[in-house]
Amino acid sequence: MKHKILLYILLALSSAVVGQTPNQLIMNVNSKFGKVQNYSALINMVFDIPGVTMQPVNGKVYYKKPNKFRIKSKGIAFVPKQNPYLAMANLSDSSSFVAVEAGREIVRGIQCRVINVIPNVQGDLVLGKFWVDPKGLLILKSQVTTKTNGTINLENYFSKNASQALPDKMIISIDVAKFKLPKALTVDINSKAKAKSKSDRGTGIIQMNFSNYLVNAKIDEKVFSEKLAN
Amino acid sequence: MSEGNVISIKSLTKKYGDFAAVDSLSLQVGKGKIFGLLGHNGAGKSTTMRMLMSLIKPTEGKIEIFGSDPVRDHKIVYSKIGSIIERPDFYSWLSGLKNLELLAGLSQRKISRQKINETIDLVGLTGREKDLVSKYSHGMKQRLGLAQAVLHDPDLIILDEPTTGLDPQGIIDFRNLMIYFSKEQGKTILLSSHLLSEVEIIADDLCIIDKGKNIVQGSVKSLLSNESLVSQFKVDNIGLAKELLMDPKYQFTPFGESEFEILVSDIDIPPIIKLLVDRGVNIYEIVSKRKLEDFFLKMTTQG
Amino acid sequence: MNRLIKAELIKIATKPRSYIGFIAVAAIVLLIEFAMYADGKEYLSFITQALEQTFIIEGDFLNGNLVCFIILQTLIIQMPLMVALVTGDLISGEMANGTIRLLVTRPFSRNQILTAKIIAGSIYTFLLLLWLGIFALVFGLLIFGDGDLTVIKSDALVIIQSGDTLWRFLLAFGVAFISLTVVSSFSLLLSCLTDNSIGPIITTMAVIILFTIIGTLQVPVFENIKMFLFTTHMIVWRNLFDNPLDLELMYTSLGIMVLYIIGFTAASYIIFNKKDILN
Repeated sequence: MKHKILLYILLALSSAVVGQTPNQLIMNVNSKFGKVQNYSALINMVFDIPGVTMQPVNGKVYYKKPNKFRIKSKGIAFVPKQNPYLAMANLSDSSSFVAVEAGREIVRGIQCRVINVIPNVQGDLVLGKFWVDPKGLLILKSQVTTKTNGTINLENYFSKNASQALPDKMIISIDVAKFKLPKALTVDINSKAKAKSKSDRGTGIIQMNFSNYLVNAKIDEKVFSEKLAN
Repeated sequence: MSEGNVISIKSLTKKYGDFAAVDSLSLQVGKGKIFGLLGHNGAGKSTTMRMLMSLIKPTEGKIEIFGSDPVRDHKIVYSKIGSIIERPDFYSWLSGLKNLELLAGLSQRKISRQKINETIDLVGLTGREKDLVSKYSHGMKQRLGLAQAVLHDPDLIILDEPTTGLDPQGIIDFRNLMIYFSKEQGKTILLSSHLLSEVEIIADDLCIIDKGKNIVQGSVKSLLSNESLVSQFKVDNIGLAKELLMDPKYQFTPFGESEFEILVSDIDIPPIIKLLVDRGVNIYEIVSKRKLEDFFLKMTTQG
Repeated sequence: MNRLIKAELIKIATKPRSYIGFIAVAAIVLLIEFAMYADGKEYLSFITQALEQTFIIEGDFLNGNLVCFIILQTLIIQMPLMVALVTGDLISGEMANGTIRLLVTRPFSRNQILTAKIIAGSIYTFLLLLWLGIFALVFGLLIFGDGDLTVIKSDALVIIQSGDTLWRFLLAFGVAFISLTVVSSFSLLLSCLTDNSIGPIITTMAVIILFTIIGTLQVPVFENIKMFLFTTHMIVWRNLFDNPLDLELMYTSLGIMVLYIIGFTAASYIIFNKKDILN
């Protein structure tokens, strides 16, 4: 009897550590992040967008469960149309998706399980790929494809706020459609330096550095509904 | 430069290519004198005056004003000179008064508003000084030109054709002003004019220029004293007058029924009058004229 | 010398022509500001539409800094003309109307007279730029508010944060002053060469337009001479609105412009001193 109990405990433990199904893993990650009802934080954004040269921009970021996300800045800032929390919001119901294990990878020294998520309900989400830290229940990387906004790659860097699954740094890579500017309205500045962009391939990279998180405090709904200046 | 000469010009030459507008001209202008500079159009009068005023540069020669080189000592020399060269031009969008105020501001010494008003009065522009210069007649501009030339109380006044455009009253006023400046204030005046009669009346010395050269220079009195006077008589009996003045030296020339001209020196006029009157010829008018004119024509055609 | 400068400034200030530049600047600037106020967002939509395919854009492209920059761009040809209208007339105008004789026969050397005119012309240029600055930047900020400046280059957008724009504008006006001084010194040189009032003004504009066209054409035969055209360097103020700043280019262009100013001015002194005043 004692041996059976010990075996069951061992089996339970191993399944908890090794044996979580992909669905379960995703749900657990969601559940951890789900404790954050809302947050606000200071944000510093660094842009590397083809065809745009700009200095880092400071602003404030607001989030409200399940997927309200707004960045406000004094100056001009480019925020990806695709909400970085959209995928998580779509994965709150385990019956709405199928998660498939796609192997393991080491991401920044952390052994991650790679989970492909295929929604089985009609929605904007087409496909999601997540690199999950199974111990910390944190998504270190994701690649999410939506119907309206294409594919967005996201990397999360966690440290002091990891317990609430709140990243210190988020790097978003996004395909940028090359835009043409009417020649008549351009300024032919005789500059030898080309536009400062590392991505010549048409990929825009936005790095967001978060600080001064204020979690589960009151946030005015107006913040998410205020009309944008442009 | 000899003592007493305000202007001393030595071998002054101005060439434009091969053409010499002024050709080795030498003259001296004594202090306190009114000096007339005479010559045909294109003789070199204005060119000489422009060189004196540093408007154009001499090709050769030397100029001294107040004993100094006017180029080297520009500030000192020209602070003591007032001038009108060719026609007087002003800032047409300003009034006469504003023009004078502007020019007064450029003077080395402070010129008060009262002094400006006095000068305006002196040249006969009172009442018109606030009108825009663009509205001035030529005569009024001449008056304003004279005003700007004397505003800063210069020791030397250089005037190029100053009576051009003046009406008869203006010419008389101008003559009186020149005499006033010279005799009362001791200023030296160098002027060129086509009005030989005016020059004859007011000038102490004169110089005749022809083709850029100095033909003759000297005091008016000494230059003209040996010259015969052309006198015009108006009488009641021209026939008798002709008989009495038959001598070829008189060059009797009748005009109309009662007027005639004779060539006669100053001292011979009284005896001729006595002769005519004694013989019953009534004399209604005697006018002596064109003395300088004749002298001028004689000097400029001799060469 | 102060008396001379004062007299020159009085002449400029009392001459009706001097105000053409101020009126024109005010009219053009107010016109552009009105147009931007009425239709600015639509005008800028070509930028936002392209980017809105991928991004949500925070902040406002249309602001006082952008409007000021557009105005400065628009006035690139007009400002030199307005300066030349006054500086091209400084000597030749007085020669034409005979008043040069009033000056040269005063107890001032020709060098002093020319220096006073150069200083007065520079003061006029400065005041005209100040006027432009007030209308373009101050009014622009008051009407449209502050914000990041978007510079539309031929190969990229450069976005300069609002806190980073004022010193650039101030420096740009400073560089523009040097550019316009090249124009004023050139027109003054032409003014010393002729007795005609309008000639130097028209010639200055013709030269600027011609050089600008040569500088714009992408023709290999002109590439070698572009460097020597002062118009190529006159627009270097625009480089202040780039990131990163190409300081080498700025210093080179500024140096070349200063050399032009020195050259034109030295030639003016030589010519004016030698000139026979015959009219």
